[in-house]
Amino acid sequence: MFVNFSAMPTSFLFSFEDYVTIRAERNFIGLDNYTNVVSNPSFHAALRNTLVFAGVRVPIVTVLALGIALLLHSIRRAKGLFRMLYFIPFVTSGVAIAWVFKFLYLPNFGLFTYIFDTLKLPRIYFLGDPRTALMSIIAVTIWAGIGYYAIIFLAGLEDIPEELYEAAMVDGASAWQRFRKITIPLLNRTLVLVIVLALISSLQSFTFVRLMSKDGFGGPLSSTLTMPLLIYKEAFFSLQMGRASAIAVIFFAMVLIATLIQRRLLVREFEY
Amino acid sequence: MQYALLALGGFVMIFPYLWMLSTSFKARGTWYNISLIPEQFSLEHYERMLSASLLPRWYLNTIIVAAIATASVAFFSSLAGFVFAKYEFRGREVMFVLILSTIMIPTEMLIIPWYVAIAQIGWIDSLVGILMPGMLSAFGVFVMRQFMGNIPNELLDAGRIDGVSEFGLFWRVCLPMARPALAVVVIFTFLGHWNDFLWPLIVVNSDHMQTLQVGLSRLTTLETGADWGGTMSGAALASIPMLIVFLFFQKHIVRGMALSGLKG
Repeated sequence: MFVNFSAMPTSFLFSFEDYVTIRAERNFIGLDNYTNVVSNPSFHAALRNTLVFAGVRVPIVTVLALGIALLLHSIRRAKGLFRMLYFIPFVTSGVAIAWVFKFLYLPNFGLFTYIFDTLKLPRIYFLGDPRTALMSIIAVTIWAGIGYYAIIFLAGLEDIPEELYEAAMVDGASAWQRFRKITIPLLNRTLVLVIVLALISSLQSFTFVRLMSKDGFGGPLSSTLTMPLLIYKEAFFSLQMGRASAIAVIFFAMVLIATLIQRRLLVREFEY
Repeated sequence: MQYALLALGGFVMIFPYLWMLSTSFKARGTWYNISLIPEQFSLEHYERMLSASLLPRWYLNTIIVAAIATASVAFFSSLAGFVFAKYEFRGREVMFVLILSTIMIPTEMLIIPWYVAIAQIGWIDSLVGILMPGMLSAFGVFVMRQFMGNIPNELLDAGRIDGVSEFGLFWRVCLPMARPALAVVVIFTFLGHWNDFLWPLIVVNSDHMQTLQVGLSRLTTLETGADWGGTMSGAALASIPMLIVFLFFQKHIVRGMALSGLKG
C-alpha cells in the first residue's frame, strides 16, 4: 500500500516530463504532454470508446443482473445451482473468455455466423467491422459480469424483511407497486454499489479489448481503442512514459469524478 | 415461469464453456464442424499443449506467484485488520481511510510507476517483479478489520490477564476466530492473482517466465497447431483449476461478498 501511495505522485510527476524509456535524459516540460495528448486523434477515439463502453454496459448489466437476482430470489428449489451457473464467469480468466468468444465471433466459420446464416439474417463481421466491433466486445463483458452483480443484488434482496411485502399484500399493493415502493428504495445502497462497481470495471476495460480487437491495439480503425489500452500502448510500445502518464492522470480523474457524481446523485437514505 | 427464464439464461451462461470443451476434443482440422459432440473424440490438443508449449512451466510460475502473494496478503491483512480493530491510537481513522482510498486508484494509473521502480531495482522479467505490487491488499485489511471488530474485547482482556502476549492475542485468539473472513481473503486473493493479466503482461518478457494467462494470450501457431482446437484446450486448461476451486468454496465466495460489506 505504501507502494501505491508513492506511485500516485510519481505518475503525476512523470506526466510533466519528456520521459522516454530508452533515453536517460528527462526534463520538466510543464503541460506539454497534456496539450499533446488532448490534440491527439487516438486520444479522442479512446475517450469516446471508453465513454460508450460505460454508457452502454452499465445500464444493461445493472438491469439484467437485477432481473436475474429477482428471479433467483423468487425460487426455492435449485437456487444454489442457478446461482452457480451465473457466477461461473467471475472465476474464469478473461484470457480464456476472450479466446472462446473470439472463436464464436469468427467470420465464416464461427458459430454465431452459422446461427445468423441459418436464421437467414444478414451476416455481421462482429470483430472485423468498425461499426460492430466495440458492441461485440461490450456484449462479452456484459455476459462475463452479470452473475457477479446478480449475487450482490441477491444479498441485498435477502436483507429486505419479508413482513414488508406481506403487509403490502394485505393492503392490496400490486406486484409492480411492491417492487417500486419497497424493493427499489430498500435496495438503494446495493443499487448504487452495483452501478459504481460496474462503472469502474467498464472504464477499466483492458483484457478483452487487448485480446479481441483485431490488431490487439483497438482495431479496426481504433473502433475498440479504450483509455487503458491507449495508456498501455503509449507506455510500453511507443515508450512515451511521460505522455502515457498524462493519459493515466486524465483517466484517473475520469474514474474519480464519475464515482463521486454517482454517489451524490444516487444515494438516498431510507428508514422504515 | 421463473425456472424457464433462469434455465434459458443459464444455458446462455454455460454454453460457451460447452463449446470450448467440445472444440478442444475435436480432432485436428475439424474445429469448424458445427456440432456440440465431436465426431472424432481426440486428446491430441491437450497432449500437444502440455508437451510442445511451456504450459507446465507457466502453471508452476502462476502457482508460485499466487501462493506467495496470498500468504503475504493473508498475514499482513489480518495483522493490520487486528490493529485497526482492537487498538486505539492517534490517526487510526485517517490511516484506515487512506488505505481504503487506494482501492479507488485504477491499476492503469499505477503500472507506469511500478514498472519504472521495478526496472530500477532490476526485477523486470522475474517472479519477484510480478509479485511485488500484490503483496498487500487494502481489500484484505478492510475485510479483516470488519470481522475482527466483532470479536468481544473482554476475550482479549481475559487473555491479557492470563499473560498472553499481544502478538499471541492476535495469533492464538483473534486469527482462529476470524477464519471465515480469512478464507474469503485467501480465495479472492488467489483468484485475483491466478487471473491477473495487465501487470504480468508488462513486467515479464521471456517465454519461460510467463504466468499462465499471459502465456496463453501469446500462444503461437506452433503451440496451438494452427488449430482452434488447440486454443480451446489452452483456454480450458487455464480456467478449469479455478472452476474446481470455485465448486469447492462456493459458499465462502458468496458469503465473502456479503462479509466484505458489499451487501450495502
